[in-house]
Amino acid sequence: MFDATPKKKPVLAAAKAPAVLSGISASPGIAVGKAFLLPDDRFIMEARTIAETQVADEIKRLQNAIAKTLDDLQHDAARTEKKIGKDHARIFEFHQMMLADPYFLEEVFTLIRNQCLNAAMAFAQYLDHYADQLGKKDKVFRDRVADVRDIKRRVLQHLHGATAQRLEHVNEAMIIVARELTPSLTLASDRHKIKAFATDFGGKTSHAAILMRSYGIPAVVGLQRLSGALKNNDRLIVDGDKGIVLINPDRTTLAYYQLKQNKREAKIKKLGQLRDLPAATSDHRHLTLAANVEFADEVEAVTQHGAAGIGLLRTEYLYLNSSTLPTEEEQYREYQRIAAAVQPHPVIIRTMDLGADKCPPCLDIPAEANPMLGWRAIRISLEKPEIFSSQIKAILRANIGGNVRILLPMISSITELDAALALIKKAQNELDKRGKKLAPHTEVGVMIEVPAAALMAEAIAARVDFLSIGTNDLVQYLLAVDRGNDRIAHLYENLHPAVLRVIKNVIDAGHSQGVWVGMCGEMASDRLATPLLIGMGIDELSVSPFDVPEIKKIIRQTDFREAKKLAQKALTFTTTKEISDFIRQYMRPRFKDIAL
Amino acid sequence: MTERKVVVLNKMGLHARPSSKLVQKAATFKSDLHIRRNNQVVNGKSIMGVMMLAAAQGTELILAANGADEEQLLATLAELFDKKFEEE
Repeated sequence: MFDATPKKKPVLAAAKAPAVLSGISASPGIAVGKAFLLPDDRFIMEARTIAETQVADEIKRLQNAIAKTLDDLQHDAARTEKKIGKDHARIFEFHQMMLADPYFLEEVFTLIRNQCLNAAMAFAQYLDHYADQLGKKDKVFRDRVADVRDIKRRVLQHLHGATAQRLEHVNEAMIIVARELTPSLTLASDRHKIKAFATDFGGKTSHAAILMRSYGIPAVVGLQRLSGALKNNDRLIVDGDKGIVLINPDRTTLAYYQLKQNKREAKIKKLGQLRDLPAATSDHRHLTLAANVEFADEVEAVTQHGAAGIGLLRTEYLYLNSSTLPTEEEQYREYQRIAAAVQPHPVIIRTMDLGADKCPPCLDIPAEANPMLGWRAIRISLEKPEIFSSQIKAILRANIGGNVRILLPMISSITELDAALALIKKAQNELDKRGKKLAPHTEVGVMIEVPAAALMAEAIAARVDFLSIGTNDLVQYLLAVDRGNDRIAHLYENLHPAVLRVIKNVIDAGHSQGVWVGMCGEMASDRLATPLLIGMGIDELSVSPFDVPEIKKIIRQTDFREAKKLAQKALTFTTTKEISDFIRQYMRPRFKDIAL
Repeated sequence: MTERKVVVLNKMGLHARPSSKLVQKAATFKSDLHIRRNNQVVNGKSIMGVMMLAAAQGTELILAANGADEEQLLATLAELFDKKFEEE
């Protein structure tokens, strides 16, 4: 005999892990709350043919819907202006102007008249086509596509007489779940009623995501299946730091995140007081604490978090977003805008660091077995001088305020460096001939990320204005560890004695040639490494904007003379464990509220 | 009809705000206004049209006005372009 009833599962299994969806972190922070699902804006659009006798009525219906939308916009603009200022309300002014554009409306009316199309379809069709066209233009114009979609949605809602639940009807603070973030959603809604945003689509660079970051409202986008998996009032945790959303978490998880959230808020409040203070040690050694920027939209966060400029501007986004190579003019405008935004602080622009692992449609990089050891970065730039030259010219031209610097990635020999410097010189001469007025000198630096360059740092430093240690690649090349390989990822150690020795050598080499030495890899924001780097004499640290406040706090609480001794002692150890134990022991009593 | 060549001097080009200013200004005149960029012609009194030009900094545009006050319209707009739409 056999028992057909399955064995009872152990009780523990009942407390199953909460469903976790991962997306893209669009705005950091943690929120715990109930879900408020915004109704799907995609109305079931049906193209209907209307009788000719209905045409006038159909046009009238559309005009009424537009009039109502204009009223809403007026109302939202006034509220926004009162809440966050005139600048932010301007977007609604633009929406109003579009809807009041008589020539545009006439085109839609003509569609209704000539094709006997229903109003909703005619209006949507015209705007969809318009948005598609606008989407093919330069970024400034492309960014307005969301606005076009926004007015379409608003008008269609009125046209359908949709009794859409609007955010205003929310009584308690909720986590808003929507298909995508639109400016009207983010601006017109009461910030205090929004704990967080979670959306199916969207990227971290949308206008709405930037707004969320500036409000400090956590947001995770690109969750794809989220809205379909939820109903109203489902309990959610939005972790904007990790880019995940947990659905209906159990009590333990909930308690854990609530604690994390409380701690985070208290800490941010305290750190905010450091914003305008210098990154100087307690005995007044001044460091430059700058921020790394990967997308142009992050620039605002740099000054917001009290960073002294941009220590690493990654330029790959200019190439990755486009099917054609960015022109000198396009790059110039972009760099100049960024330089102006961080003035008087510097912006260090790294020339493109693309390779077979990060290959844009505009560049033909064949697949490789080992992209990290392959045809990438400066190696491409030197072989395709026309690409390099247009980027260099754009950077030189953008240096109007004298705060723009060039950083060369992946240099592995003096031969390469000399070739790159010659191309920079040539670009300068060509610009002079074109009659372009340039800054008398644009500083050039080398990213020290290949071990060979670290060993040749003195000769490199003799040729340039500064060095910046790119630890992500340096550590991976030095230790021969691929961090993406789970099996060996634990062997990747910033505090490996060999890594520390190499860094010390680079700093000393730079100083012996009278140039400053910075660090722009992730190690620069490794809390355990900060006192050590200060002690080794680092002049600049460039970290993610969100890491700036805490790193500044560590710097300000560190005594340079003490840190020097700490570094000397740390360099005598031969294992990572000895080094990290030693630093922890030093830091624990001094930095009680920092997780080490 | 009178035509006049202008150049977009604004850093960000003829984006939403300058486009709005241009259209609002043009609306105060009686004359028709068309704007041409290479082979693309749009109605200068239509914000949707002007945006579609996607005119970046350095773009040359031809303003064509037709009507009783065409001269004044063009003079006013040319000044707006010269002053970078009072943006910078």
